[in-house]
Amino acid sequence: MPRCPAPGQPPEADASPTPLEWAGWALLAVLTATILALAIFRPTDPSAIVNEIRLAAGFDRYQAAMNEGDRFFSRATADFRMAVRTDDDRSTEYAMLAEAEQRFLTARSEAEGFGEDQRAQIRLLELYYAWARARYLDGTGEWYRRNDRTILESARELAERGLALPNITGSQRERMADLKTRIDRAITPWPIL
Amino acid sequence: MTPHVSRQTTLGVCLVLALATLLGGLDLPARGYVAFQFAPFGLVAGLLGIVYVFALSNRGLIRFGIGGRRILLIAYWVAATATAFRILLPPPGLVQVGLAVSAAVAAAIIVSRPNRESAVAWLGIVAVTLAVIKFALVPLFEARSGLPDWGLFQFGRTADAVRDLFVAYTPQRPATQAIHFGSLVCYAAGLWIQWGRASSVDGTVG
Repeated sequence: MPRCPAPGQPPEADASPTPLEWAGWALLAVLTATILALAIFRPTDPSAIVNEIRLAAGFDRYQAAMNEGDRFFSRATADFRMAVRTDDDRSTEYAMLAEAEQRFLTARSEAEGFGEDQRAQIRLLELYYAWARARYLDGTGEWYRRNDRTILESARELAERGLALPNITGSQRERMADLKTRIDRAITPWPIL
Repeated sequence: MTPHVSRQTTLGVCLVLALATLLGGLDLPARGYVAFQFAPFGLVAGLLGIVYVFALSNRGLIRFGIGGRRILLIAYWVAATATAFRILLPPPGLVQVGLAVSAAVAAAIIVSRPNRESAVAWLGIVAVTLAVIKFALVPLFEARSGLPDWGLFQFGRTADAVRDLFVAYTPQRPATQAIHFGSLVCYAAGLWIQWGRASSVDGTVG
């Protein structure tokens, strides 16, 4: 039997929620959860959402980490190629490279077997090569300007990280060693040398 | 007396405000490789949201009811209002400073209006003014200076830095405006749902 509202009280329209109303509350919960998830995780790509879910859920984490690492790395590489001026601020690209490195390291830790581990290491080496080369270009400039020792030392550290990977091929190691030699030569107190 | 807000009205208002918050936070940058990004409101827009929710509830445009639904409605109204300001305010810079202060002053004007029709008209004036400045005036800043960079004399970069002092403009794809317009429509729908019967300024529903 429906209750009668007390005098002066509002009519009680809330007694029995209909299925449609329950569906509305469920939709509100989904919308709110979506907003919170978007605000916290800040995805920038539909595929990134799927990969992050796979990483968080622990489902095929190796491939999800490799995909995400490749996505960050390819974006940073494309940005470097499109850069008009060499003295542009590259902090965004370096942040993307750091993200890619974390994903490839996650992939290494999730690798099952030698093949998967080597694949992740090769991607890491390519990343360190591009990163160290970009830092090398940042640290060297016009012939009349002194090279930036701090930047070049960070470039050398990246090259050493790449050379420390155990399962890369000989030609890849040789390419990275050549870059490291160029970086070592650029670390000089004299402008012209 | 605090007006009663039914559960169905609460649900309807919260749904449109949640949709307004979701759509208003989406950005589609025109540069770079980001397909989309969700950028929630910041501190300035959040504070303006709180001030305006107070002003609108003071004039009886929005009602919160009693009990747990009151907290729910306040949270969604503040989030949606702050998101609306995120949409309407230009990017950070001196232009935003001036407009944010003006919008805060306009909240005092809304509170001083004798009835809710006049208050909602002022809300519309604030929204249109901000929108015109952001979408018609600020894009003019996008034009590059055209000055050259000669070795030590970086004229072009200096000119761009001065421009960024006024407004750090970040272009968006045209579809962004449609999405943000949808967000403002949802916000207006929330106001419309709560408009209801004529109510006096002290909040009692007639």
